Amino acid sequence: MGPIQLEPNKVAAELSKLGEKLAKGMNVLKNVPDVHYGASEKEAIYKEDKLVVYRFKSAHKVTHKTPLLIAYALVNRPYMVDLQDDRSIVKSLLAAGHDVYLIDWGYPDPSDRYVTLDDYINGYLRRSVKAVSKHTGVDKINLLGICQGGAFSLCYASLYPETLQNLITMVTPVDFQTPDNMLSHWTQDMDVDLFIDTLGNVPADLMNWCYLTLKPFRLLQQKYVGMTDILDNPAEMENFLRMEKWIFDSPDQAGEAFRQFIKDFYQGNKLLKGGLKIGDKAIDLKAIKLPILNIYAEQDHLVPPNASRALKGATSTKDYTELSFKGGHIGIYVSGRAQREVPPAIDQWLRKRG
Amino acid sequence: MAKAGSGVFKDWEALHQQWWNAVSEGAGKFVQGDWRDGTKAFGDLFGGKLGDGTDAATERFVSGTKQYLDWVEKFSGQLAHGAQFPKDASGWMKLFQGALGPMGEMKNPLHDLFATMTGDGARGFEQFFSGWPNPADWAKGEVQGLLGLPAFGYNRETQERQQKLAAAWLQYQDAMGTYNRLMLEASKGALGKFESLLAAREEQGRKLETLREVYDLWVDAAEDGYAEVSLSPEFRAAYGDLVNKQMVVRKLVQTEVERFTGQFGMPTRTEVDSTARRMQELRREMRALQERLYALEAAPSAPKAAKPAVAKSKSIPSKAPAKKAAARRSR
Repeated sequence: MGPIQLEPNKVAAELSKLGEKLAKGMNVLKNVPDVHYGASEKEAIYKEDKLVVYRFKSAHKVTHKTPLLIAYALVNRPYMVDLQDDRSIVKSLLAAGHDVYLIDWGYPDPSDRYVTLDDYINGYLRRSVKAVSKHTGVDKINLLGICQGGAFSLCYASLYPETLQNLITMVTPVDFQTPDNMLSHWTQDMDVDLFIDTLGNVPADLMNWCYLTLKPFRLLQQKYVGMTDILDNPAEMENFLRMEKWIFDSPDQAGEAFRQFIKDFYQGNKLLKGGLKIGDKAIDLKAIKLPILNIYAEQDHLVPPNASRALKGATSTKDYTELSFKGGHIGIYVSGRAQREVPPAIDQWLRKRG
Repeated sequence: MAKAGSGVFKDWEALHQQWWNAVSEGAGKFVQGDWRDGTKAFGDLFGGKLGDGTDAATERFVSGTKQYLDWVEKFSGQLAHGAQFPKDASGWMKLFQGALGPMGEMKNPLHDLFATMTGDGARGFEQFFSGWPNPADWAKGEVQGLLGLPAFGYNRETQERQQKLAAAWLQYQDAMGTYNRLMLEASKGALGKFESLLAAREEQGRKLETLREVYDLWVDAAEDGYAEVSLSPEFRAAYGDLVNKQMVVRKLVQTEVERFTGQFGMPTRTEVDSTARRMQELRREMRALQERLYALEAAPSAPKAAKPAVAKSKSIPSKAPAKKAAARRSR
């Protein structure tokens, strides 16, 4: 029979089960409550334009004297780090005694079209760090940058090392031109000036569609065929819909910041190769001497592992640690494995370094 | 070699209609109608009633699953009514390909992207060109040559702009054609990959025992085929060219829209951009001044050396701004 060995009874069972799940599915969907996110209570400690810096309230005693500020990417919403009760990196860090803060960059609108990377890094990020320092009464804080937020954090750390105790980067691109980086490949021949001059801000729909087309069969079809497996399970469906909400709840991208990010990071690879300037300040990764924990995902299709691993040796730190996570770009925040592995690793690493 | 009407095939024939009825009934209940027209049935019945997130996810689900169900129907139908079970990877490949239908077509994802680039509003872009002739027809009618003719007379400027826009549209269609050709290559590549994966399974003695396993292996092959093309230098050039050509068209359309809205006294994109630019400059200046003010307030005693001369006259009013700044920080 060759490699496919289908037996009538087994196929009958498979299709009957599919039929049953589909039949129950609509009732489940009709009764799934509107999905919410956020497991941990938080308060705003700093606001500026559309940016808000939150401090997560903890039921646990803060045992780490140095606060931890999370800088997420601009391209999705930061609540991924605190999605729900059993999928929250923040919750685990709070339980480990950390004082955790988070930058919410907000949703840029047409009035933000001229917000630049200089505004984001030398402005918003610098003042956010300052706000956390002031709020906690310490001179240095720990910074955790995720994805694009990690690239921002590296720029920041090279410019303002005196304000940081430790730096953690998660799924952060450093080498933007590894051969397996499809996203980078697609941007190389784009006329970004024409693109931004035409579009202004980059619409969120475009960003989302671009990400989906990196793996169109898996993300536009197989994922939803797989949804039939959980269609009769309200709790699983709620989790699925919460993820869907996060994936498609994306901000537009401020045009000028996007222009420089594509030109200098993706097309120029200047973060690694050198020559990058944020505003009038030159970025030199060799200026970073503080301890670094670099966490990457082995099956990351957005930021391939080699794009992150390029950080090794790119700075002047003598205290560099790499953590490889068996999962993808999203799983690193929300999978069961991530909850078991990532926050404890961060906690232990920080605990040794104050 | 098994043959229809005997042995295992007898079971397949007998059970096929029964299974399929179960799936169709379930799918019909899900979409409250004929699942083959699922998206429409779903939209008619539940549009906007389940909440934005659930509606959108369910629409994506119905659309994605429909192709799978189409394939399941055809594939299992071929098994039930076929002459014989294939004996090797190559035979299964032919059977699979016969049932593939729309699931195997690598549709041009960028076409959909551009059509809905900024949500519903962007459909205007598609509508703008909906009445235009097919570029192939233009070529037949030698319209292309006419676009290069010099413009003159009272409408010279308008005519020149329109010629430019039409030429840009043709170039965009050319770029789309190149891109579509590469997508076709990806589709063909996927079939080759699938056959290789089947053959590898055969060699390893690893069997696929469910329809879902067959489908999942097909998705692996389709993604491999797509990735191979997407990471090629040719694709990189075609992708860049398509995006760039589309932006040229879009920009020229924007210029026309600006001219039109300007005539009615409506604010234009250029004006809004200009305001946004100025506002961002003011934000920067304001933040810089604010930070200088905070730094001055926080400075310990450096100014005190010079203070005695002016202290008496300025000490009282200087407290008010400090209080205000402190109040701002605590907000």
